[in-house]
Amino acid sequence: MIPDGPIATFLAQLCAALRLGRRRADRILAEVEDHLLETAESLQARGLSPEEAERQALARFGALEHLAHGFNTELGTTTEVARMLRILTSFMAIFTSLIAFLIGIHSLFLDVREGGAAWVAQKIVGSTAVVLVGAFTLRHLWSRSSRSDRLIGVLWAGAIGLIPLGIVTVIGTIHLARVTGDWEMYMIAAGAALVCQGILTIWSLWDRTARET
Amino acid sequence: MKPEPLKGHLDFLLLAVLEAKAAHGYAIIEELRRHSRGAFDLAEGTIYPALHRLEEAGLLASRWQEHAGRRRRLYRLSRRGRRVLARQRQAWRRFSQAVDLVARMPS
Repeated sequence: MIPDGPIATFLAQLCAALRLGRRRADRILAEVEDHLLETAESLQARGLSPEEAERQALARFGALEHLAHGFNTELGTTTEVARMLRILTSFMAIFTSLIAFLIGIHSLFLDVREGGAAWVAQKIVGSTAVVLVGAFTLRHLWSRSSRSDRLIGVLWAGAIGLIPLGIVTVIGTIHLARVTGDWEMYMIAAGAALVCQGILTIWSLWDRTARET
Repeated sequence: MKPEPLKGHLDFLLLAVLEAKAAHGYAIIEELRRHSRGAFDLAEGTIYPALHRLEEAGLLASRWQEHAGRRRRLYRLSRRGRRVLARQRQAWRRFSQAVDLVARMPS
């Protein structure tokens, strides 16, 4: 690359025009630089001077404004929001799965006479369902394999089911607390977390489906 | 061919080019040009936003490769991308058959 030559100038202008995160912008600049230099090298091999080869490489590459606009619209806020959504959904899935696992383990050792066999059984079944939905959610969000798509209908059902499960958990805990006087605040928090996870998972699934071409 | 008609099909074409083997942006453009016998001669930079978007959607995967002292980004089709490509091929066949049928209608 010619120092301060056409390609170097183009890359500096592109860097200034990109409205993306640092890592994304650095990656784009490295890719564009590699492409332009390979084009220039092939043109030089055909007998062009280095400067003329760089100019023609840029002419073939396209206008800076169009390229920057393309990156900023394709990869700008929308993509960053999608990434944050995926991270937040994953965090909630891990959090609720962990809480559910601990509640399930605790319920196994819980004296049935304290809360009733039905209540204990509901906790164990609910906890198992939440852990499974959490695992499926993480696999679907982060796996590039199409195998994870075979269970997508189950994941949608599970995500939708988390919302009423969470609501029932909160209402059931409050009702039981009024009867026994024992406020299990962790159950209320878990119920609220389930509702949040359900909403986030549905949003993530819908967003991912909409992005697929 | 003017670049405008290509816009709606660029994703499909990129997935198709990468079906055979992994490639970097320059090679993808060359393959597009070669396989279309020069019909698809778009501004080379236009494929990069599309490649990044396809990767974000999980249809492509990429990694860095060292080449001639530079870093080069190599793209390949993911399993999800292969499934989507097959679906788009079927849709394109149906569409092009329908266009052919209408185009051959007597005036």
